[in-house]
Amino acid sequence: MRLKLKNKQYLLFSVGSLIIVGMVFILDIVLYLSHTFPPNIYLIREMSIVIAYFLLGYVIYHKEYTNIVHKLKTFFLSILGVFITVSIPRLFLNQNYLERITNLPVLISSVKSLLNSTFISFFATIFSFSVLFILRDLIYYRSKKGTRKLFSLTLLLLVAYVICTHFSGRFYETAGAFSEKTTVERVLYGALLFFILFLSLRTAWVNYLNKRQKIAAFWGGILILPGAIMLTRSATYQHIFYYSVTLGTFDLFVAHFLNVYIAIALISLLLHLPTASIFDRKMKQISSLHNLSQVINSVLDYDKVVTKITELVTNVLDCKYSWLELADGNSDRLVVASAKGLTNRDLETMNLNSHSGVSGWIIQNKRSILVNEVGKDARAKYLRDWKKDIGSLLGVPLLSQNQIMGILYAMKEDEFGFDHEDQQMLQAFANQATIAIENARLVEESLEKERLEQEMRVAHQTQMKLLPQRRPEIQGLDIDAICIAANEVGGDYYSFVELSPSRLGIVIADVSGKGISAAFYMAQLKGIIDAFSKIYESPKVLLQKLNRTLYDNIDRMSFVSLIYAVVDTNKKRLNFCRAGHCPVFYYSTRDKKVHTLVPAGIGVALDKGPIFDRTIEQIEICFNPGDIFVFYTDGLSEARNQNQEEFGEQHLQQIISQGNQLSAQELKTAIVDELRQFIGTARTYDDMSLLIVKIEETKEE
Amino acid sequence: MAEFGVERKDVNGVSVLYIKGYLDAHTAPEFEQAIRQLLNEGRYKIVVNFKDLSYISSAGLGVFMGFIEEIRNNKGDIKLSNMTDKVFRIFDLLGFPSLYEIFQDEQEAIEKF
Repeated sequence: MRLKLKNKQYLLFSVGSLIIVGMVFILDIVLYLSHTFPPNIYLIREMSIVIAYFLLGYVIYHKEYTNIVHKLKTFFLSILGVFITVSIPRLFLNQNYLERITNLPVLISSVKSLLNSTFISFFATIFSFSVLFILRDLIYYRSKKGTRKLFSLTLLLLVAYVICTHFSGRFYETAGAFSEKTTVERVLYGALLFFILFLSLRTAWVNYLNKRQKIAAFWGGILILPGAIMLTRSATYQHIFYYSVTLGTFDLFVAHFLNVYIAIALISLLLHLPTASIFDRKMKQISSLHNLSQVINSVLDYDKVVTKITELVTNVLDCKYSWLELADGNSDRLVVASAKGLTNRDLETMNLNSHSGVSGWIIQNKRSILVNEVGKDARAKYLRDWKKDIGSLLGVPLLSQNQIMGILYAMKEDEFGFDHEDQQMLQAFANQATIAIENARLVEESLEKERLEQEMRVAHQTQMKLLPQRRPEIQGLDIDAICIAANEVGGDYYSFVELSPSRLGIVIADVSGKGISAAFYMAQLKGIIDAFSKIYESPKVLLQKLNRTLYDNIDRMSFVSLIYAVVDTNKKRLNFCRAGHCPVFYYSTRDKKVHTLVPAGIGVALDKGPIFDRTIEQIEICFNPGDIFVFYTDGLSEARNQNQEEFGEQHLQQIISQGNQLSAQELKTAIVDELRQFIGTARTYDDMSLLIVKIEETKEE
Repeated sequence: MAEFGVERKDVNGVSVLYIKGYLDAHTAPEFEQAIRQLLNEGRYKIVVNFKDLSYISSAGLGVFMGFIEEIRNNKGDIKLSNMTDKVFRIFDLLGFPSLYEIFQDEQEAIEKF
């Protein structure tokens, strides 16, 4: 809204000024035709012109420039524009015109010359305004307050000078030649020139151009300066005086200002040219460091960060190859995390070694390395075997808490491609990169942790689903079981297989490992046992088969301890094998004692087959009503309280012995209660499972 | 809970690893790396001294299983020594004595190579 209002205002001002200029033109024609020149009208005419151009100046003043380059371009183009505009009329007007024009404005020689002077004044003044404001902006570039004051003072002085010129009346004397400047005018003009000179020394913007821009600005200036000087000297410019003394004085002043400024700026540019490329590179380095810190703050994706790092290195150091090696998690080996300029084949054939060569040197010294001639440096020579076109190289360590986290390399084809400044710069860059990488890693770690927790939840759910959802219904058996999952999911598992109405298969197992892998092996185990139990009647044979099957499908660090038992209520016998699992506690009513049953047998999937087959032993118990079999996992017997004391097998036996009259469920509750009380608030690290089989008293007896 | 730790001593061709504290799922990777290091150096004759080990979980036992094949294929072995009764019982229940040679004394184990 505000902008629109402003635009309207500018339009109004522009149109207003054009109307005034038009009216002045009509007035001039009238004066020309009537061949009179009343002095009073002259003042009104001059005032009107001042107002008209003041309005125009206001509009030009508010033109916005995006940056300094835009400004310089406008500058150059407007100078060129006015040069052409002012020169063109001269091509069409003959020398006679020039002579006749010397009588202006007192006597207007022709309508044509009148048109010409109005036209030239108009464009020259617009040009002067834009030049003045651009000059002002250039001078103000990174300037101090004093400069601004000086500039305002200069403009005030200019106004004073213009007024003086009017009052001196030297332009209004008849017949051509102007009279000499008065003393006041000279003093004022001298002061103006001095101020101009002083202001022209403010050329700070030159520093902020890059090399290419500096060269362009220099040649642009060389091209323009003669033109600009010619303009001020040319008779054409004098036409403005005939049109309006105010405009003429103003335009001439600006033109002088311009000439001086261009000349000084050219000198400044010339002085800056030799150092331009160094300055450029510094700027590029600073901006790339800035760029990197932005990347740190915005990109948290590890892969993107490492890719960006090498990309920026090649960019900033203007080198062909760059790559980043980072320490690989647990081992101290360095692995290429990202590379720029290298092909996949290069990466495969890379003969870098973190113990010797350049990397070894950097790791040992924890310092950066600069190799000017790769072919002649003993530390780097071997790199030539890998890539023939490496001339010079830079390598800097990424240090985190004085530990080498990685190495950042830059390589060029030319020898002596890098200097010490590059080395320092790359080190600064590497320091930033270290932070970026650490941040990205932290984020990744927390994501990983979240993923692990999620995995644990899934594993826990899977484990719980794999456990039997109901107790088996077998006549004559009172059964109960529980699995108390640890804070961290363990690998406990139990299940029942109803082989016939009187035969029940019982499995209790502890799969080593945790989380998803344990849950996965558990599911495998369940499948194999469910299938095999229908085929193999003997627990021993079943376990032998199970061992061979599982051994081929489980990772070498994992194994399963388990017990497989078959209870036959008709024959009143329990047959079982123990594959590396905890013992079975058997309470016998006959001697009223708890027996520990430990038949020989090694864990499942520890051995391919021969040892397992040889050691596994099956035992048979002939049971009586009231007898109790207690199966459990080591998580239960090894559960600890806060004093790090173990619950213990004896403790368990004791409870069984005391609770021999209880039902399976009651005994389970008694054990679990006692266990929970024992553990208290201590953390549990392993699942605790308990499976109780009690032989019921038969009704006939 | 006692910190887990592993120290190493090389006696001629045999390397002895002294493990102490708790060897469970959390500390197993550290032990794993100690063994991996020996294998990287081509040392396949290993004695593990359990003198100061107070607990070993199934994950800890898994470490032995993870390397034994590679070690025996290279004409080496892992021999175990100086177990406390408690630790021995864990090994015993799982049937490790039929898979590994277990000795009362470290010296005995070394001489067996």
